[in-house]
Amino acid sequence: METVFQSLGVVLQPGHLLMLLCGVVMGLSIGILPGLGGIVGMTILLPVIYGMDPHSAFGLLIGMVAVIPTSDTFPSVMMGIPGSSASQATIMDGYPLAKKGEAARALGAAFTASLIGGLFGALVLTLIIPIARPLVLAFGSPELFMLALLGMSMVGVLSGNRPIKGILAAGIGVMIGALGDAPAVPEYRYTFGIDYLMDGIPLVVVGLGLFAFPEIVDLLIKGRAISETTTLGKGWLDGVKDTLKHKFIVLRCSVIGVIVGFLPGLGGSVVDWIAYGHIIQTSRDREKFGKGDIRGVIAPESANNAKEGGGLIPTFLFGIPGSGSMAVFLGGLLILGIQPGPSMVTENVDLIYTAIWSLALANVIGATLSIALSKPITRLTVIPFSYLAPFMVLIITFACYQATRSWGDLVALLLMGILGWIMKQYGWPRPAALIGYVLSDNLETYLFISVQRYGAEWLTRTGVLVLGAIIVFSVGMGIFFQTKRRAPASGGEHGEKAA
Amino acid sequence: MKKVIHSFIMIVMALLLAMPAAQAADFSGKTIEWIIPFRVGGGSDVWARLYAPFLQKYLPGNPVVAVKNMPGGGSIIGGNHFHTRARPDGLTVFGSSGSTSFPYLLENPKVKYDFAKYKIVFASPTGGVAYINPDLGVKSVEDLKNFGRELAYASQGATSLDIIPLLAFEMLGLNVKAVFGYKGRGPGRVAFEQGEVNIDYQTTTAFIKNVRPLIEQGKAVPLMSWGVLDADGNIVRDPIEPDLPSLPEAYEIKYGEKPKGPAFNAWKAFMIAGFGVQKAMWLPEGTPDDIVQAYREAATKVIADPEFQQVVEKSLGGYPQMAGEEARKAFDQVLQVPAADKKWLINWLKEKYDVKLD
Amino acid sequence: MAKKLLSIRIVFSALVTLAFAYGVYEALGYAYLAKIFPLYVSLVLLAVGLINLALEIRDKWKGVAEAKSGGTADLEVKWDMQMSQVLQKFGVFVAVIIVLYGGIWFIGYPLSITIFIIVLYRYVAGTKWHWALVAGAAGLGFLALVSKLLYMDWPEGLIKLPWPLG
Repeated sequence: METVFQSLGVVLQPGHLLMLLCGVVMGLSIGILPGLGGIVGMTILLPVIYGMDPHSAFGLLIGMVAVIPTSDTFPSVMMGIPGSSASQATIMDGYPLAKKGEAARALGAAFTASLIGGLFGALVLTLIIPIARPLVLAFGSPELFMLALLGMSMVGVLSGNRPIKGILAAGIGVMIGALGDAPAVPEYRYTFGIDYLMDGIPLVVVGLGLFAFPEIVDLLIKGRAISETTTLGKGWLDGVKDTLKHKFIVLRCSVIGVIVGFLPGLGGSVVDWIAYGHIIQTSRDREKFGKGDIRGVIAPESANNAKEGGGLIPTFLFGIPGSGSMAVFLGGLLILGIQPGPSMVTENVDLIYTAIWSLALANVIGATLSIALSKPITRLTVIPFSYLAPFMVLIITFACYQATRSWGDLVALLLMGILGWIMKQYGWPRPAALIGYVLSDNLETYLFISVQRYGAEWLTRTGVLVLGAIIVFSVGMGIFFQTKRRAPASGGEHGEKAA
Repeated sequence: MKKVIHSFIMIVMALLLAMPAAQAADFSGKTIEWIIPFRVGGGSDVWARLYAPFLQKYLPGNPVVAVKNMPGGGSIIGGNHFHTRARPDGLTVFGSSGSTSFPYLLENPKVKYDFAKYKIVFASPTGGVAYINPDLGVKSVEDLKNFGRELAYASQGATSLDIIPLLAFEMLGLNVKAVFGYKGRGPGRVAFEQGEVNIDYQTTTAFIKNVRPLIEQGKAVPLMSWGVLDADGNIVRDPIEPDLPSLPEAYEIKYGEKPKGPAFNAWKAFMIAGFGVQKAMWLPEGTPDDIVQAYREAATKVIADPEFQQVVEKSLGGYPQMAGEEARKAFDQVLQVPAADKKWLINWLKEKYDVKLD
Repeated sequence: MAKKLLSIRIVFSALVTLAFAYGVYEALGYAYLAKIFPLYVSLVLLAVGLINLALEIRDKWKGVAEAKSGGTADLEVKWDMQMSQVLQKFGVFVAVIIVLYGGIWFIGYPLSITIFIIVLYRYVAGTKWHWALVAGAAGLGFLALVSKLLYMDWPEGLIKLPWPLG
């Protein structure tokens, strides 16, 4: 308990605060641009800390990591472009809100949720640290597979009433994810002998291709602005009020964020979707989800900031990154001479608490700055898109190129873009494809390891059974509410008669 | 007139005398690009960035040493880029790691780079220590003599650095099932702690930080280290764990004779590539001798710098770093592995793990 | 009959199904450990794909329209023009991007993208030339800034131009 307050004292020192602030500003400036958030952003920013003295650099590092999920929200809401490690599910309801002219409200709600979610997550984390190790160790490969499967089950929620296309879209995503090197064997799959494909198609390319590209095209074709109304509707203050109204959602999802975040190897990328799916499945009136329900913004945003805090646990305690951005963060720690490992709980536990509270504080700073920025930035939604389009093309081509710095990135972007556009026009749910892609590696790897190691026994483990039950339950609830809602209408995927 | 000619000759002579000095390598105002075929934040990236500021200090002219990350293809893409693009002017250097050497040794067709053609500047060794689950009743290598139970080892893949432990276990006659799919030694260690696997190894820095506490808590039993090279190229005990036998010693303990044969020769060569000289810095083919000399001298000075020695202690495992001739001799052991032994290994991988190295 | 069934929607579904069939075919040739996952996933998806294709053909044949309410906003696409017009415009956009890529190939990224911005501002957004040039300069300035500060790269063209144009 003492250590906690001691660390809080360290965190509040002006020197440290200043570095945090710098890190936050740097992280925000880069992360705000579509495609440059997340891991790409961290990778670009990390070299800056080399050669700095460890204490200042630590604050800088944490500041940068903290705002990644925050800055990712801007492209998600403004144009429906998913971030690379967070703010993916936010596109489902955030972007429709922007189209309705309520971008400021969405952003306001998102940042408030991020702030509260992040803080609450830090609190939960502080309390969990004593039992963190055994908790992490309880999740073996079979359990992690089930969690990935839980993430996949969210696809059902996202497919509206086109489950078949949803499954196929998810399958497309999974196969794109399987492209490249196989997890365990020196075999390169579906590469057609092209070197670029040896490592698979990077997430940035898939995300920007499937989402940004079609959006840019469509907005240009429509010839209007992002927002379909010419005046901006509800402002950010309304968004803040919305979040406070739904504070239980914030708390619930932030707990989900912390827990899933601290399991190493899930990439933390599913957190958003699990939170989003959860909120839909546990809501009575779900008519508006996917069309601009503010709860669909609050849920994932609360979860994803909490997740960064959770990700600190495996990183510090096991030296295993909890997500992509944590992997880069870990590299930063090693450069600073900090060697994470089990001894940290006994020797350097103060460092862990410092990190947690720095993260929480950086969250607050980041969210506040973002709210301040949201008003001017949302003005962009009413500008005719043709003024924005060329710069959008610049940013997404540039961002994609940073993935592997080769021509393959640009070509893949175009191809994924065409695929994404066709999917959009003909009703194939792209978020399902994104989830499939993101989870592909985990699904294969953990299933693989489970079968190799335990034969068929893995299915009978307690953790697996519990998670399996959760999946069945949540999918069941989803179907149940769906049919209840559909009973009066005679609609369906292949049902309505043409006029 | 005479005076003019006289001064003219003086000037020419002065210039001629000054020229050799100008020919000595000098990098003032230049930027050296150090290609690291791994991502930002990874082990090799950290290694390079720890060295870079010291190299800047000791290279003549104090050039900026900038790390350029080129990850991809398991470090093959960066290696190929260095091979085709780097000019022998001392401004581009390459940092390799075990995962770069292995595909090269295994004659992976995608590999274009060729260590035999480059000039090594310095090398950083590391070590590995293997340990086992205490519940199996094994307290040391002695107990492995009649140990027949199946063990599980968390592996990244049969052509990764895991060749070293897998082949070592095989030589010791252990029945080890390799569970593939783990993303690195870190997850492997977690799997060990979870009980998902029961035998594992870690590289030295990770071992010190993460496994020693486990040993103290009685949750792991150390078995052996791979060993390190001495000045004559023999494998001796790793100074990190002086009480543990090296692999050749473990072999001797089990079988009563020193290890020999294609399996051991292959193992030794690959062990040196993967651990003995795990990370190395290279200059391209055809680099003039004076530049190579300048680099090697700078590296020697870096290694002697007491501030750097602290870095080595803290972050690089505390092993004596090698520069110049020493590094070259050590890596030659890797380059000179007889073709027959290499073939044996490639065959073993194919037979046991169905590895196709087309 | 074929003409009635031919529509991009169905062609796309067919292509997707074909892709999974290819997935199965390719996966058969991989080493054991590498083949299991893609093989089984492709097989299942191939089956689902065929079902989907069959249902779509049946609907088209019967003249049934695709259900309007997809449930989520991203599945509802409303156009106030003919689909053929939309496709045409899409084609134009793709062509422009390909031209941009060609430009990048020859003269490098910064100059190409600057020209791209200027051209689009003039001809799509309809601004006057001087504003278009300002926009182009802004783009170029941004590139110069991030490449200097953060060491970010861009593709170079065949013709190497001086920094920051290439």
